[in-house]
Amino acid sequence: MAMLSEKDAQQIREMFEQNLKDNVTIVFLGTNEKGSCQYCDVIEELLGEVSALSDKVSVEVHKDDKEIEEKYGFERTPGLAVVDAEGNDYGIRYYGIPSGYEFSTLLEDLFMVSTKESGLSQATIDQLKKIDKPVNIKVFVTPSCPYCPKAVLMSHKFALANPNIVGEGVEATEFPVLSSANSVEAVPHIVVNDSHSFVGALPEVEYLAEVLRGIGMM
Amino acid sequence: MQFSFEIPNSSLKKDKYDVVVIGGGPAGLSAAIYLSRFGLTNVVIEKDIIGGQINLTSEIENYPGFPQGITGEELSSKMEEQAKKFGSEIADDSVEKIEKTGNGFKVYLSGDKFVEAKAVFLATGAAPRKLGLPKEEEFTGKGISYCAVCDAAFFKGKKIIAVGGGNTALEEAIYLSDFASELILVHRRDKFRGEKILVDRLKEKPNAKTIMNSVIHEIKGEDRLESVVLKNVLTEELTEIKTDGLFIFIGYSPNYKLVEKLADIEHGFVETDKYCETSTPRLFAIGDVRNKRLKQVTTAVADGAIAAEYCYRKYFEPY
Repeated sequence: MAMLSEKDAQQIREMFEQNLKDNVTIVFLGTNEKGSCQYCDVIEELLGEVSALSDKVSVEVHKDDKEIEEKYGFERTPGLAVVDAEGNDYGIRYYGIPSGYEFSTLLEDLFMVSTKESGLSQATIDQLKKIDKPVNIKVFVTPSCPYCPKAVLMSHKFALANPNIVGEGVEATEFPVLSSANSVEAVPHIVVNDSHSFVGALPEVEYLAEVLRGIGMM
Repeated sequence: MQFSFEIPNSSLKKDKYDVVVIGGGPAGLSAAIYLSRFGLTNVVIEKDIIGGQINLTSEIENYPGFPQGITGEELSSKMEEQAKKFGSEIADDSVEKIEKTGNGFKVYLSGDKFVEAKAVFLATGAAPRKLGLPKEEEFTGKGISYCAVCDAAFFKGKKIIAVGGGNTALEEAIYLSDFASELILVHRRDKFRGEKILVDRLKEKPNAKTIMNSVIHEIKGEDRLESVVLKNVLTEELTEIKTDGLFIFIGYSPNYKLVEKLADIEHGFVETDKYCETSTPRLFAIGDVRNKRLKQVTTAVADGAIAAEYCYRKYFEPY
């Protein structure tokens, strides 16, 4: 049975027509290692269905591929990256199954990379451009959390605005050890450079302030 | 394992509408369905997620037509589909300001954009209320939560205290008891305000108990929540209980800020007449943001329908 209903598929097809400009690619790194990737098959199937809805969306599926792991700096599996047609990587990552509310994040990522439009205010973009050192933003989520997509997407918008920034959505229940090491007890839980954390889908200006605080620029 | 897939909203397509509906919960979507069927152009602007607060609940059991219950996510997506089918637009944006003009309103959105409307429906709902205790904010995400469906997974096999006495508190306590090793629901009165069926169901949970006539007096912990001190409101006796989690369901604070200069506000809720119109003509308030007695999905959709019909007859119907 198809993952997406025919009705959803039709709606996504129309959204792709309206919102996609240039081609985009979803890079998926899974693993065949037994017991270590509960949803790898499901993700592969889902991505196949999504890419079938537009000529502009393609999917690369890799399993246990060291080269891909290093190229994109995937820190765990299952991992997803959204890159443009030329293979340019914007630091947009998602770890886990992009289901529930996080499916909308994946679609928004596709629109964003395809148009290179983050929708951030010019003031925020200017501030982000000043960041000259590596920043890792981990956003822990659960698929049933309606506030979470905004928080993941914000990290992805920031990543698009500055190549020094990597924004990672992390499905907390699939990575319990990482989540508990980061004391995640409510989502969205955001961790900047593995040190500074905050909770909640903050608006753009406050979110930016927390990120800057996390890297000692505020 | 069943998976669901939520699809995002698009941005606004026009700069003028007959009616702008602010908020995409049941009230706003119901209004949109009726407005579209009367032939009025309308857009529902939602800043977070279509359905609003009902996304935070595990299941809705008292909305007629769904004898098996329905999830908030599913109900809202059905309402959204229905509104779109009749021509309503659903847009993803946040409203910053509403300004009265000669014969309508300017509704300002993020990034200095605005749309014009001949009438505005405020359907902004409400946000979970806080206890207002020291350390509550500090420990939010460190043991304290307001969203069971979001965070229950982090409390598997752990002890949870929940607070509140209405339907939401009871429903969410039942949901949380399936994760927790032990669940205690604390309520300040001697009886729950919520439905009897929910009270009975909670009683059947072997790992759940209730403490009545008590309030959370103090939140304690070093770096995270470690315990709470309960105060019995009759005897004033204080009892400290160790806990891993504290889930707070003590009602909602309405989101009325957008209209505080345009409408009368009573106890934080927007005052309207019986057709949901505020003291500013053409400005309506519907759903949980409106001052009324029963705040449920059923009454929210009723508000939407009543306001849409009245607005159409009074301001748009050709004579």
